[in-house]
Amino acid sequence: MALGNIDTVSVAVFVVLFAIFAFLGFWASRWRKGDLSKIDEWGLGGRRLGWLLVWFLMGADLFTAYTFIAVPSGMLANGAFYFFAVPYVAWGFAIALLTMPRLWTVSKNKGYVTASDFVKDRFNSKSLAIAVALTGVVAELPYIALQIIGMQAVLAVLLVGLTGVASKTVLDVALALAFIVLALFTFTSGLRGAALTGVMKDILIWITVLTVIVYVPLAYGGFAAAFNNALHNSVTVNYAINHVKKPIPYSFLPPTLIPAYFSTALGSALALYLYPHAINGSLSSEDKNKLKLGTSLLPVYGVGLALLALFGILIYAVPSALALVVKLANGAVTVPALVAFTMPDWFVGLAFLAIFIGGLVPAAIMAIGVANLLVRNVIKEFKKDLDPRTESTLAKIISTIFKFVALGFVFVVPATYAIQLQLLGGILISQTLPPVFLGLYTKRLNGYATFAGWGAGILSAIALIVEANAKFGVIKTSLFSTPLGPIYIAIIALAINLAVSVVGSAIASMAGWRPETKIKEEEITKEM
Amino acid sequence: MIHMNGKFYIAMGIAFLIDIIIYSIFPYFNTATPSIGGLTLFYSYQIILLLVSTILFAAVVLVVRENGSKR
Repeated sequence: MALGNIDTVSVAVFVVLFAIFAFLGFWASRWRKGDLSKIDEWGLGGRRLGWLLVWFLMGADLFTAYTFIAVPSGMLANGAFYFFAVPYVAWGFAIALLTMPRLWTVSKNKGYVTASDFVKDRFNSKSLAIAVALTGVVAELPYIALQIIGMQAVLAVLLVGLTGVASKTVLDVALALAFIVLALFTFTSGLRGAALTGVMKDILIWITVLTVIVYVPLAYGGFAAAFNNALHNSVTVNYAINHVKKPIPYSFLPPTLIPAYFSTALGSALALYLYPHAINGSLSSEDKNKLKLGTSLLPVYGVGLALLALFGILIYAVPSALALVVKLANGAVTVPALVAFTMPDWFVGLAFLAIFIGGLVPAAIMAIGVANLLVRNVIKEFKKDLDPRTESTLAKIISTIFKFVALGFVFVVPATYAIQLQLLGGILISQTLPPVFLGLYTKRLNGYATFAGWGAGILSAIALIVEANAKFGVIKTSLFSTPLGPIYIAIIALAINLAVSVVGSAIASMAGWRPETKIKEEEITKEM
Repeated sequence: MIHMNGKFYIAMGIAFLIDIIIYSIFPYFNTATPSIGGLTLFYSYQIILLLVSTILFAAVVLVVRENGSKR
């Protein structure tokens, strides 16, 4: 039996659009030609992207499986708390404006491609630079895994709708195929390919978001009806997904969760522009003023994120879609299910493709960031005589391998809590804040002290994650109970990290240490 | 002493602080009523703030020139 409005037309639209997408990716490698065999050409689009394209590219990073799958799933399963993604987005771009123009300037002056390049010169410390690079690599993996869960959720609903049966083998095959295409696509076109397909993805995503958010409320009695239904049905949903027989708080945030809400938003915002893919995107801008203007306009994209988050509540207005989520006991299918039951068949195909490539494109961008980082800042530290061609080939191969490694993370976190993968990445990557962000403002942090701070931050983060999730056996929370209330572990670990870095630097300074940075202050603020 | 090139970053820092404050006055917006378009105040307030944030940040970028940047 078919499901909702999914039929062969939906599948045909999905396949045709995917073919166009794949073609665009391959074609992009020939667009505004540079020598793609050089790594900074391949990884940074030859630094020739304009502000409008940078705006699209950075915005495309925001509309990922995080936005489409993880946040709505969290909203449905746990309520208002997961709306923290909204202040997170606003603050994240403020932090980007405080840091990325400086990093862009110093990178242009000194020829840096990654944050780790900067840290190495700034602190005159190879070990700190390697620590920053490795943290970036590891933190990206769960984030890539989140994208995989997103693509899987779309295919799950598409295939259930088409066949009436949810066969795991069919899913695995479909996912494997998608990955081969992604791997080929990343391998041949790099960031430029991702940027160009990002434009197609954003157009499809905006069509999807705007259509659904306008149509569904009008056709099904709106948010008022959804909130009203939620009042009556949330216990059933909570029991199906969480095995808890209590209503889910949707109308507003339970006051006990305010510290959790604030700290998760702030911690995620601090982490956002430490991720290698975000830094990679910022450094691609051709001009500092374009970068600043593009970034300052990004919170507008957050409106789309907020509306998508609310799909987690809107689904209560469409009982048949909600029934599918309950039957599968999987919050990750919230948005695909809502689309499948409310939109015409051809539009379902279009929207599903938008969500599918919404995972695929960022996964490619992230894998490129990770590959650049590992080759440049880890492997080359140990093997100095890599020629540019070998370096470029190695980066391409690693980016392909990592996409498959990330698959492993899918099994650590239940799909409904896919957002925990991103929060986990955030906890790790935020530990690179002192060397990268503070390093852009001061040279007075000592390399050894900052390295010790990083170590203390990472170790305490891991200990707190393990402790907080010990009772689950899988990762379901990124919060740790403190006397102040539940706090996002990234903030606690970062506080420990900062304390060690600052106190250690003060001690070093008293012992007669003076900064030996290879970067002049004006090289951070002024284009030379 | 604040060096010459810091003007943009100071302005942006202040804009960030303002943004944190308007997103943190929970007693004023963490309620179900009034609802706007069927959305409780908790959600509608924070969505409107996204537009406010954009205007705030873009204004800083457009108004406060960074000294020494090559045009």
